[in-house]
Amino acid sequence: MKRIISRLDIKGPNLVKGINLEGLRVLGDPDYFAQKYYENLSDEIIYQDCVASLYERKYLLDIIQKTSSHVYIPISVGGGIKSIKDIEKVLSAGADKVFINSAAIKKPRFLQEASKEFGSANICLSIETAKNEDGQFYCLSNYGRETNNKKLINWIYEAQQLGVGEIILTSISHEGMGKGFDKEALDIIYDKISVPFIMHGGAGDEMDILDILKFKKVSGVALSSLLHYSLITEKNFKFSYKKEGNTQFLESIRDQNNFKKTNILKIKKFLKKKGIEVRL
Amino acid sequence: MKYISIIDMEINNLKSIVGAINHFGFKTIITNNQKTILNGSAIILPGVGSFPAGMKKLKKKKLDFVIKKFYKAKKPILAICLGFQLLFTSSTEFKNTKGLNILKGKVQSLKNLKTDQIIPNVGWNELNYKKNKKNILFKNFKTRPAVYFVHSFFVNPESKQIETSTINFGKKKLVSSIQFQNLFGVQFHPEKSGKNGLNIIKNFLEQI
Repeated sequence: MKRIISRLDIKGPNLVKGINLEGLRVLGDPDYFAQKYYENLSDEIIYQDCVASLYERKYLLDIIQKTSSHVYIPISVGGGIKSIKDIEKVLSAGADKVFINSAAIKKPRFLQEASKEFGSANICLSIETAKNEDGQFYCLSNYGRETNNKKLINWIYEAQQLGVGEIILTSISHEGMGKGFDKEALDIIYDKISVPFIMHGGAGDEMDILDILKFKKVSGVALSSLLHYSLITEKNFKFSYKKEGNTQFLESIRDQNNFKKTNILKIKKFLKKKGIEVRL
Repeated sequence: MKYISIIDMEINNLKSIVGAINHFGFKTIITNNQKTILNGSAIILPGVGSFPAGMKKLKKKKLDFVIKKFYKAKKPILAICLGFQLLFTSSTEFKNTKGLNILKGKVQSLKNLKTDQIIPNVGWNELNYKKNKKNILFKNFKTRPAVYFVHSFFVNPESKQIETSTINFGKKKLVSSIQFQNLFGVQFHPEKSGKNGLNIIKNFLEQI
């Protein structure tokens, strides 16, 4: 069955969302969104810490702890995971899997060490990719803030050799745009994929999701803007957030033209009608 | 005071299983203390990681004997994922390792099946479950439930009769749960399987 995953980007105590991983705007209490998506048949929750600074780390652990005690689906966590100890902390707080990006780019063997310690199914790779001037896809680290000379195709191959259990690919140029997933990036690596593979960045409506899930090796999609913007425009949406960061957006939010108003259940029913196997 | 012992396998994440059991009004204790386990109303045997590491952890505190004793006392046991595999004779993960051997059967790599499926099997699968009232974990299901799996190994029980559900894996079928007397085992994670999973846990708890 194909997975529909809710991805929640976290900054401090709040759920945030940007465009191209920039301009983060506060949307509310992450645990509230996670619960709503769980009830709406989300197959998994991803918490992505987008700042991952040391002093704000305790917020993330609190959020994981809270959500995992009442949301009975897998919870994956990414952002700022640099050591075996970091993984242990996140798993102990209630996460099932971790996504590693920057630390693995810096030291690929970290993936191997982590897989050995926690089992490869629980150690996943997160890739943030963008096209360079030379027309090739490269991998970025630190939530798209730092460039590297790691080519996407080489990194996919290498990471799978090191024993990652799953890969999530975020196309930075497509992220937050709502104009469809990055098929060009997928096309380049498709033949190399040999583990469960999740696409993230660009879903604007159900058709975009159908289009990408038609690829056999795409095991699922991670959705953020599409779900969040739909939820916050619902009549009974509960505004609650800790005063921090850019909150003006919440008070004047009706400008999201590229995103259809929908929800996970609607998306899944649509996919099923089109012959994609999903959990209903 | 009634409680359910969750065997302490030094697993990091037990939040969801504890949350699910508490949700139904039962107290839980995460423990590797022999007396505490034997005095409890039921056992949950969880597990992630490799088969040899799991057996080693049980043996270190002589919990293999404790679990067998508990089983003979006819009190309910629910074994999950690696815990489920540990109930059987042996596994070939890394090296041939003996299991608890309460049930006869071998644990093998999904790779041996030579299907076109991606391994590990991560995600949701629909169960083909046996429809009868004696199939305790699934007694009130009307349609095939989808549940969450994360595994690279599978169990091949000698007795077909203990099987209570299977999943389709490529063109093959895998055993996804068993029931034998007071012993229940599931390859999937009921605590991560949404409402269907909670229902399965509730059905187990009703055995107490």
